[in-house]
Amino acid sequence: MDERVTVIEGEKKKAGGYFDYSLMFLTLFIIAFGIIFIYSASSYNATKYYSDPMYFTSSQIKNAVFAVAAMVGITIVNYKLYEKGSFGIAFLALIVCTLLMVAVVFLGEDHNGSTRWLKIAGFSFQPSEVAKPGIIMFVAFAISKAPQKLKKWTGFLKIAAYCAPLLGMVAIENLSSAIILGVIVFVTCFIASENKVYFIFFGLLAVVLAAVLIFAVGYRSDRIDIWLNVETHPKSGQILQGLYAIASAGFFGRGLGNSMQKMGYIPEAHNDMIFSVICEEIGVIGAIALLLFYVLLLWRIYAIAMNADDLFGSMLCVGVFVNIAVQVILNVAVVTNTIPSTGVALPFVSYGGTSLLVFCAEIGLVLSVSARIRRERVED
Amino acid sequence: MGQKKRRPKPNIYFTHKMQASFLLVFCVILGAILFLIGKIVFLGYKDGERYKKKVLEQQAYISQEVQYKRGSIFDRNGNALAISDRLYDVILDPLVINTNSKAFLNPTLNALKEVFGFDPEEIKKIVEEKSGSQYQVLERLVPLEKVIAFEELQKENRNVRGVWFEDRFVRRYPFGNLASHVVGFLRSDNAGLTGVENYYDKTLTGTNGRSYGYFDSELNLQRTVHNAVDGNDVYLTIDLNIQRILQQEIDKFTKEVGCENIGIVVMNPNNGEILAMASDDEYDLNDPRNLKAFFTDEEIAEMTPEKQTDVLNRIWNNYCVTSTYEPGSVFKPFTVSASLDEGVFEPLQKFNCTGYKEIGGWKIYCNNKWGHGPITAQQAIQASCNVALMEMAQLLGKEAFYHYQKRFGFGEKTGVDLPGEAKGILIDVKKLNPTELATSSFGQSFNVTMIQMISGFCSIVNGGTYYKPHVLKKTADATGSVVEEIKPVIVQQTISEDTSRYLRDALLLTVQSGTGTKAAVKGYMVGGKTGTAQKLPRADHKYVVSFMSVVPIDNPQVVMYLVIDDPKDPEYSASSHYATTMSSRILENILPFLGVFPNGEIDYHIDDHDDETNSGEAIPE
Repeated sequence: MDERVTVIEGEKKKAGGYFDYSLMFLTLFIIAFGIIFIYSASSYNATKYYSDPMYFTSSQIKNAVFAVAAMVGITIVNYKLYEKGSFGIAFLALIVCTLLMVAVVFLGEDHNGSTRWLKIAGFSFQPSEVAKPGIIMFVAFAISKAPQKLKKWTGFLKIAAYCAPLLGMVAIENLSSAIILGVIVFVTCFIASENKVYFIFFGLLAVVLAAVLIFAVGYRSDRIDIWLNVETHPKSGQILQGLYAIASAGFFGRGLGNSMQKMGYIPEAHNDMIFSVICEEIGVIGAIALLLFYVLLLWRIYAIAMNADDLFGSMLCVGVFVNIAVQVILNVAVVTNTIPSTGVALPFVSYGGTSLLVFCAEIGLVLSVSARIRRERVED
Repeated sequence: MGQKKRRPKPNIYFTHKMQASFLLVFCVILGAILFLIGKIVFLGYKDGERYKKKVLEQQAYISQEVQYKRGSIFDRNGNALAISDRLYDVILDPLVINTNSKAFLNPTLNALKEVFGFDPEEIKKIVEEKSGSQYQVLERLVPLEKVIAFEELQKENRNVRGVWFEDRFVRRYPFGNLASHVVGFLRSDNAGLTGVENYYDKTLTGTNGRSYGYFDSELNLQRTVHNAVDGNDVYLTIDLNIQRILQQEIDKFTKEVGCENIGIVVMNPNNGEILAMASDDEYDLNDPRNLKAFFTDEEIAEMTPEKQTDVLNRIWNNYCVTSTYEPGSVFKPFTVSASLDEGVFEPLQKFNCTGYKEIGGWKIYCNNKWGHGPITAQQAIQASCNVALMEMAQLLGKEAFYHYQKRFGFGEKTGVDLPGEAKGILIDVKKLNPTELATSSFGQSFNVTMIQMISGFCSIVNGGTYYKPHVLKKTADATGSVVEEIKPVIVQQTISEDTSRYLRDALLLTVQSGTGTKAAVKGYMVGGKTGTAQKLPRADHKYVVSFMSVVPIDNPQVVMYLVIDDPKDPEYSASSHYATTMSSRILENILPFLGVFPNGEIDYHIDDHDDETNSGEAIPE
């Protein structure tokens, strides 16, 4: 309710509508923060392997420019367009994502043992990342069409069934991405449903299913061993080195650029393990500050969802909210060895073009929703 | 908030219930983030210190410490008493050899055999069995020449690989047990434990440097070195020649006669420099924990570890500064100086010694039970009369007596630059009743250290200037340039020049015709004072015998103080016989080293020296 009041006061001069600048600047700030740390974390290895300390950094800067442009573009486009008609663009997005996943499984490029990359018109990207906004849009679309159907468990099952092929394809190559997608579907439906009871059943089912998948596959159960015996397990290298970095940093860290662990001990320190370098360099204080910025970002998305012009807009925000929150939590949980290791990027900060583009696109969706908040709603 | 009246379809908005659910999800997420923050803090708390070390260990390969060299310790003539030698550990890196063992193994084995004489078969075994290791110590503490020889071979044959050297400094004491209590030794972590090594630890300690490794743009490992700053050298006032003579005499005495403790200090009275300081349990600095020099194997075998530690600590104690005892008659010149300086008697005034003095209901006897008759203060010193001294102290009064004790530095640390100095114990002025004042006047009933006695005594004979005793002469940096030259520190003026002159006459008389005649040295004007203090409990009849000597008494250049605690000879245990004869022997040997020559020798040394016999006769002034 307070949100609404601020919205009016902030809007007095602007007749057209509301725009959430704080969300946009928070996003830009976290991206810039990420680039600084990508430089710090990668320059040693970049020099070592590519003779160019800026190798990864300049590439990420290009990615960021492209991603921010995409964010602005998506902000300008009215999100309501995506739900027009009974067979909307949002539904189309799901189908396209599913097809892309089919393509990657059969045509993808090899990278680190799994085929996760697809090359179209000179651009390499990971369809499992692109699937995230796709599924957010589809779930928001399905709910906004008929929210009352979620009262029954069959309604949830119907939405899940549409998503199942995509989740299945993603799970083949990248279980953690599939889990994130599953959580997005599940939590978004949970929030939208007036009947919460059957979610307990489905929740338990999902946990059992995930457990079976994890323990069934060899290298994943190996990760469980590493998680439990991080100091003694022979393969615990990356996680243990990350823990060395976090725990040895102290309250204020070694100072920006002074990480010792990034020098060959944490492999690809600019990727999923970047949070450990952040901890080592700017300490517990810095880590808490970064997490607080994520909380602020989530709070802005939450506020926009509360004030959105329609249910579709709100549900889009919910989906983006869940995606970012889940990835931040999983990433930090992995580097602190709270859960078994799995490759989850830290939103906006980890190196990687697709990930950054996808998150910027999602923020673009939320900004688009914020731009269509109408003043008269609050006048009653 | 949920009022959306104008919307046509009630259900397509974000309803109140949905908003509540969303808030719930937000709270759960906040909880998870808080938990993770807790986990980060906990990790640092639980493993921080341990992991910090691991990180540094890992870095050791590319970033290494460069050790500083600890400063050396020299005597006043530049003889090295303690030096640090750079020695090397030979490290084998099997992993490097195994990267191409066909090419590297044999040349390396041959080189190792040629320079160090290692058996190639044994080394081969290590390379095979510890194939993944990078750190196998083959030999410790190899001198530089061998390292250079090996590096020559490496230059000739590039296939000699996987051997490197780790340098460190090892402390060496070239003179073994000479001045061991003054010099001291190091703990295993290279910090000084005793003696000057401990007292001047900061001066001797330098700062470690570090060599940093990084990869340049061609990916070669480059090194930048921040050089270590070596510790400063320390020059002592100790003269090794004198020290050696003292220790030889002490050795002879402990072998022939034996005693509980024995200590000798030689000082320059004109600046407070300690020229030598020795006691009976001087230990080998290169092997300070070895008890074999002091006990038989059986005795050592019987000791418990605690007992051994106890014994070692006693041995390491510097008797001359850490032990206290009752000084006895050597203290008499202090009482006389104080009384004369306060003017409580005239220089020629006579005291009447009847053989005892009754104080507080006690008869306190003189050393001569028949009495010395009427004697002056000078004669009282000469004959070591107790009664005259008790009367003087009575005239002086307890306040002034206590004041002078303090003024001569008793009951306080002298501030000598050696660790573990004791304060001694004085009877406080409030508790100084007439009986104790009387016994104090001739040096019983309070405790002093040797260094207090000799420092105070120096001021009595040098005209009243109390110099702070010290063993440091100067410090110099690693290049040899002087960092600090120690100037004499005057603590205070104790007595007047006139009083000092009066005392010098008395001390000369003591050696010429008093209790100290055995301390005379042919050709020198020796002044001195004997002491025979009865130890507690008095019934045991154990004594501390001592002698303080001053040469030449008309212009004091050297003061020597010798204390023998409980000489093991029934015939002489209660007499200063050993102290005086030993003093005489030592002085005769050490004075030439100190540039103090027999009277007349300088004048006549171009001719034959013929005039030595007369020289000691003249009374100064």
